[in-house]
Amino acid sequence: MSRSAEDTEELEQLLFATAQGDQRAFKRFYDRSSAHLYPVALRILREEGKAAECLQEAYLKIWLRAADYEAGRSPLAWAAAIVRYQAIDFLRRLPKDLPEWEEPDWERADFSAEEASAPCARERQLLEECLAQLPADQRQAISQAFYRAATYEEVAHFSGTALGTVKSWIRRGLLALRECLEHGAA
Amino acid sequence: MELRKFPRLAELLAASYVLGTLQGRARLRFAHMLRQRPWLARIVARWEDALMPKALTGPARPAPASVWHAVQAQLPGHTGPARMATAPAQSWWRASWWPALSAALTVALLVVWFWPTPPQMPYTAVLTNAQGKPTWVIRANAHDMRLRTLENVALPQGHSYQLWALVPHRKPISMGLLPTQPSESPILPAPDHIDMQSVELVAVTMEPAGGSPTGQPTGPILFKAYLIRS
Repeated sequence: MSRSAEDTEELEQLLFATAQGDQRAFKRFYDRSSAHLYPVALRILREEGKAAECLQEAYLKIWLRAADYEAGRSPLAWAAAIVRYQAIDFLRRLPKDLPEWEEPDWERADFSAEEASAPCARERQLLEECLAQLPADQRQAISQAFYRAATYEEVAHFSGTALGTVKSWIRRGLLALRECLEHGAA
Repeated sequence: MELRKFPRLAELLAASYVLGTLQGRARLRFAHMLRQRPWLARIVARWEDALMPKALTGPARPAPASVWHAVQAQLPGHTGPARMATAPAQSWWRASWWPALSAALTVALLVVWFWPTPPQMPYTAVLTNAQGKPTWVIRANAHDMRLRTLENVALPQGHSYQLWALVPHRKPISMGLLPTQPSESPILPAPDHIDMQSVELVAVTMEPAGGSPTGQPTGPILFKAYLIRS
């Protein structure tokens, strides 16, 4: 069994135990996952204090919702979604005039080759292959929205494109992505 | 509108929710719909599994230690930092000044305990046990809540008491598991998307340890109380 499959299995068992109210299992889950999930919050919120506060609330949700986790899903992807939603909630309550907000560095997130040891490497590879098949404008709009948790308006603003066009790119891109993910990259 | 009849729209909403482009009231409404529609939650889960690996790229980075301490302080049975302090290297509690400090701390704790509740928690519900004794006191404002447990509560092995907020015309919303020993919780955020002002009643059910497996009450209501504005 690969290292990553073993990790997934262990995290899954820890989540099952957490769902039964086992606080030691929850602590182990935290120890095994938090260094992967902290950057998820940090990347969106861009400030350590806010990211730490976000992570804290997200882990309380993980504790409360562990019973919602379904076997067979990636435990880290499940938890990352909770962290990301929390970060999005935080972000949208913040003023948008933070200086770093304008920094147009999300291109870096766009299909850069990442180390293969990161969690969910195989799943990510399929996603990247499918993204790569999209027209460039759809792909970039989706990547921008994802990387910065940006709204349609923000993607339109940063790319200098009309709002309606951005919405259409993202929606068409998502539907095409669904097709590709379901049927596998050609 | 029954979203199920519009699979393409459901797919797009789910994808936009996971991506983050669904925003504002639409986002809140969608998050609420998810709780009541398992088929929709499954579509969202598929998108999470597809997209989240991209959020997990980049180097790992340890979270600040304060995060776990804050999380742990809010788990059932933890009343604050005192319980989770790690053992110090020296037996400081043997020091001769300890009894005096201990007495001072007791006084300080009593003062804090009986100090009038700050006015920012205007909603109160008192849940009584089978003997009519006040057992759990919930205080809340629109966004936060705080729970004080006054009595020891008997609980069969393998079970938990779970607290629910009852909002008219909505399904019960879990507010978490209840402690069974006297304690006071820190100020907790109200569960997702509830405006505490809309909560009419709070109720307690007995559930399997760790809470209801379905997200909805599975046992009968054992205790309930109105949330009143003081």
